Amino acid sequence: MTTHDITDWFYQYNKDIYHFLIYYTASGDVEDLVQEVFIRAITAMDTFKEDSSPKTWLISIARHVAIDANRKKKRTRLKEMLTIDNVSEPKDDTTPEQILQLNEKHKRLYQAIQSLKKNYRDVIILRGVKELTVTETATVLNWNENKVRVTFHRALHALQKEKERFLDEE
Amino acid sequence: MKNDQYNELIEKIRSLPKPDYERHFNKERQDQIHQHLLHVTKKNKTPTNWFRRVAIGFGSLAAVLLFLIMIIPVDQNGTLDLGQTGSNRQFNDTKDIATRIQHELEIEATKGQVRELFGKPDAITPENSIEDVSHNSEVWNYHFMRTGNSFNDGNLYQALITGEMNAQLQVTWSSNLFKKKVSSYSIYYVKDEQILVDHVSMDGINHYYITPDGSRLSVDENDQQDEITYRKINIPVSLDQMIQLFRDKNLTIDPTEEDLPSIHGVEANGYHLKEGMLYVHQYTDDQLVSTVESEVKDTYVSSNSLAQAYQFNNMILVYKYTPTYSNIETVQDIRWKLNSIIDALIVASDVNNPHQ
Repeated sequence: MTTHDITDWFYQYNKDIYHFLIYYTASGDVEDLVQEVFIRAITAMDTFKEDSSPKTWLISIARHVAIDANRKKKRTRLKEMLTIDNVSEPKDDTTPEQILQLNEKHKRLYQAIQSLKKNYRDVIILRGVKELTVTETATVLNWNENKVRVTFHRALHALQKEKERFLDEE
Repeated sequence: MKNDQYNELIEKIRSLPKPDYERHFNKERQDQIHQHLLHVTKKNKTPTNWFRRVAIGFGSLAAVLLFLIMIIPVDQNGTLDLGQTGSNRQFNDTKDIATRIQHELEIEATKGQVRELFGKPDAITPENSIEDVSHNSEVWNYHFMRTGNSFNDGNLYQALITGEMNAQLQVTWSSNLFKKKVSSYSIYYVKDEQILVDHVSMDGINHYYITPDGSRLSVDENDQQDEITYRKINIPVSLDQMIQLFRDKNLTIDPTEEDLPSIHGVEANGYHLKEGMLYVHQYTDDQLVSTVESEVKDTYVSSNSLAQAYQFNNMILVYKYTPTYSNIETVQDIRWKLNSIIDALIVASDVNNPHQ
C-alpha cells in the first residue's frame, strides 16, 4: 500500500466507516476503531484484490473490528463485575443518539434495529443504513446473494414487528 | 425476494440522519488519525520491522512447541487428552474424531461427567451453532481446534472447512430443572470436503451434511428422496428455448460428449454448467417419458452427487452436481436460477395458454 493510497482511501471512506461503526457497535466512542480499521487494512493490504471495491473491503474489516471490540467490552465488564472494588465509569459519555442527532421517531427505529438478532442487524445496517447493494452486502458478510435477499426480507419483517412493539410499550 | 411491502420502512431506515461529523469527527481529528496511519505505514515498510516480525514468529512457534511438550498430557496410545479446557482441545487423529466422541459420551450423562470428559465448555449459548436449536434447552459448545488456532470470528462453517477447527461438539441438555442430563448431541466435522453432522439422541444416530446457509443435505441411504428433486411440468418448451434461457441467466452451457447417460435407450445431450452438468433426454414417445422417474434417480444419484430433475412434455432435464465446500454457494445459486427459469416458463405458459 502506498502513502498515496492510504491518503486517498482514508479521506474517501473514513466517514463511511465511522457511520457504520456507530451503528454496528451502538457506541459513541468509535474514533479509535476507525483508526484500527485502517491499521488492519495497511497490514492486510496483500489480501486486497485489485478488482474488488475498497469500500466493501474496508467495511468488512470494520465489521470484524467492531465484533472484536464488542467482545473486549464484554470481557472488561465481566472482569469489573468480578473485581467489585475496581469498577470504572463508562468512558463513552457521548451516545450514538447524540452523534446521530436522532429525534424521538428516529430513536424508536434506531432502538428497534439494535434489538434485532445479529444476522438481521447485520443485513439491515449494510443494506438499509449503508445502502450497499446485494452483491456488496454478500461480499461483506461472506454470504451468497440469495441469502442476503432472504435475510433482508425477514429482517424487515422482524424490524416492523419490533417497531410496533416499541410503540405499544409507550 | 420482493420487498415492496416494506418500501416505506426501507425509506425510513435510509432517511436516518448521518452523524454530526463537524462536532464529533471533524477534520482535525481525521488529520490526527491520518498522521498516525502514515507513521504506521512507514514503520511497516522498514526492513528491521520485517526482521522483527520473523523473529517474533519463530519465538511464538518455539513457545507453542514448548507449551505443547510441557503442558498437554499424552496418553499411551499417543493421542491427546480429551479433558482440556479452552479452545485448544485437540485430537491427534482427526479422522476418528466423531467415533471417539461417540465412544466417550453417552446420552443421559450428567454435567459432571461431561466436564470430566471435555473440560469446561467454550460457549454455553446456542449462538455458535450452524442450525437453530430450541431456546428452551441449554447447549454446551466445545471447539476442537487444530494446533495454534483459536475460534475467534464465530463462523463455524468457515472454521471447519478451512481446517482451523477439527470438530465442534454441541451438547444439548434436557429441560429437567433438577437433574440436567444430556438429551442429545451433535458433532460437526469435515468429511469429503463437506461439513457432516452426526446427531446422537435416544432415537439413535442421524447423519446429514450442512451447507453454508445452514440448510441440510441428507446422506442417509434410507432418505434418498432429498438427493433428487423431480418436478413434472406440462409446458411446451423446446431444447433451444431452454438453452437460451440458461444463457440469458449467465450460466455457461457448453456441449459435451463424454460419458453421456441414457434412460430407456434414449441418450442425453450433455452440457457443462457452472459447477455441474446439465443433461437433457428428448423422447419421441410421450408414453415412455412418463414412466422414467425411478430410472432418472438410479441414473443420476450417486454417493456424492445430487440432482435436480424436470420432466417436460417429451423432455427430461437433469442438473447434476457434487456439492463441496468451495462450490456450494455457486451450486445454491444455480439451483435458485434453475428454479427461476422453470417458474418463468410456467408463468409464460399460463399467459400464453390460459385454458391449458
